[in-house]
Amino acid sequence: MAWFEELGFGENPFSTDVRVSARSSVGLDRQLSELGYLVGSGAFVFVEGAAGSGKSVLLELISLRLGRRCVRVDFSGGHADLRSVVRKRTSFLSRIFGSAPRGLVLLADNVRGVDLESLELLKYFYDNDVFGSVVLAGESFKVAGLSSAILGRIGSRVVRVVHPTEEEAVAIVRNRLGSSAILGDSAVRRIYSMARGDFRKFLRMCESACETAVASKSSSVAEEHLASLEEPLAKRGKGSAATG
Amino acid sequence: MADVWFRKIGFGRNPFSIKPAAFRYELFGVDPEPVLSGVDNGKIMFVEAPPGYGKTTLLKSIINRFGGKGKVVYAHAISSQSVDIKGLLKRSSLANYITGNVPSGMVLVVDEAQNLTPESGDEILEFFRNGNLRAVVFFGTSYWKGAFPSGLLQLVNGNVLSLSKPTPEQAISLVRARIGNIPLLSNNSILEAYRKAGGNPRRLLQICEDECRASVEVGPVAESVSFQVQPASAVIPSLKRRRGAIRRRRPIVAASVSGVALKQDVSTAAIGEPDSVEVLPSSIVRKRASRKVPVRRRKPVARLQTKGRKAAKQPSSPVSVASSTVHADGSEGSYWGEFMGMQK
Repeated sequence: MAWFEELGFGENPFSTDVRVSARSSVGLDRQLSELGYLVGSGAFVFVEGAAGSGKSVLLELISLRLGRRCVRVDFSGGHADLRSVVRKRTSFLSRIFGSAPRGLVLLADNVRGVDLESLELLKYFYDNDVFGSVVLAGESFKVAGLSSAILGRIGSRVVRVVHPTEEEAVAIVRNRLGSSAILGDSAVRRIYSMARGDFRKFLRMCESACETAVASKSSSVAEEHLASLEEPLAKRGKGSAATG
Repeated sequence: MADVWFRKIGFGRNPFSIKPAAFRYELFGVDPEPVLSGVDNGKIMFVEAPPGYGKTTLLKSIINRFGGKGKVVYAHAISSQSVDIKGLLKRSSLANYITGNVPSGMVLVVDEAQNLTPESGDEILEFFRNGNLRAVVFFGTSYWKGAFPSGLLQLVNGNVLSLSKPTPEQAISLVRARIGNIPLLSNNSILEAYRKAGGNPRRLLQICEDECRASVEVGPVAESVSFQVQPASAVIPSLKRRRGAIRRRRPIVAASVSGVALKQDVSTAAIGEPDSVEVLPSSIVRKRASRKVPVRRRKPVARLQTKGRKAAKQPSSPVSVASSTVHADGSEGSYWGEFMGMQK
């Protein structure tokens, strides 16, 4: 029995899955409304933020808002097959008449070092309104390796995502844990300072702290559970993310 | 998303869209005549301009001019890939598609021609010599000679057209054509944006969008921020939005300028309130307002009316606005190959 099941959770409350994160997100309202406006006005947007700061969560939130109109691709390999993405959204009749869908919203994650062909297709589809709006998300706008045509279309439409602050981290943990008192506010603050700004690491540390507390049959995370956080993290980090 | 600035002042969608497809008929600072006459005379032309100067807009207007008759083939060159010109020609009409016949007398427009591979250049040259292609227009950022075969170069030579940046007057009329004569953006702030953009039309539109948005959402702060609000002598009726507004293909610009003065300043919330705004019952407005479900196949209407109780004054800008704002709807060029060609 997993530790969270003993506490009555159906799933890992500290999962790093974007869908779980989107449900409990705090502090992205400003970016979300800005992005919502830009997508609605048909802009070419770049979402910039360090690793684990919530870019993917922001994309998840906007895709929940847009529903079926949005298309998600991942550029992590530097390439995405945009043609097949568009073809999938082309209805049977449109395929016969050779017309393309219109006004889709492309949400592209992990944009860095994208190959020229994808960039040109991106531009082509944007110019011809197949993609009414394009949102690229990456760690840095400067080193994303975009072509001048794309840079000109983005202009100054860059949305910056920053790591949650300590207060927001506390609120996020409260959102995730609900009424459970396993992790007190002061413990959350301690873990936040130990994670040094990496929010994914923060979630994993919260998880292992809770796990040790449950294993030692105590009702809440105490100082001695936090002490052993740093070492087991290395071997546990990936595994717990996968199970979540 | 209902409180977006352009909806507040009555636009169905972003009037400053930077998409070439958004406002098909606008050409400011770009004279299509040399290109059109070149096409009529069966030349091979190259139009070069930096990004954002309106190459694709010019291209769309050419498609629009010759399109709808199955006479234009559009190709978008992607580097390190050759364009299937023959396939595009065959797909230009259903009859040719079925019989596999390559039609003759077609006009080929190639976007991003700087990416064209030499093999594609050879193919184009061959089709041009055989009469399958009547005229070819290349659009690209630079007239890059390396990729063109020498036979093609000789034909292109002398037919290179460079687009220049629009003059300040053209910039003003470009913006005025998009938003009409609303007091949100004065001619001076347009000129300021023009200077900031360095004359680049696309950048100009982006800056204007940011400024309009800031002044609708926040309200103009001070003169020094370059938002000038003139006394509100015009109101813009807010239109009832259709559902799924973003999916709309063409803008419905129906900003009516009437002679009624607002009681409050434009910069205050009054601009978003339909109560304080007079809606002019034109047939289009009524039709759109009463419709519940958007009919997607319907031809778009882009129209800017200047009606009023008193005669609505044209702006005192050097270029007349009325001549450039009323867009009759044109048929969409049925350029078949456009998407099919991308499936290769």
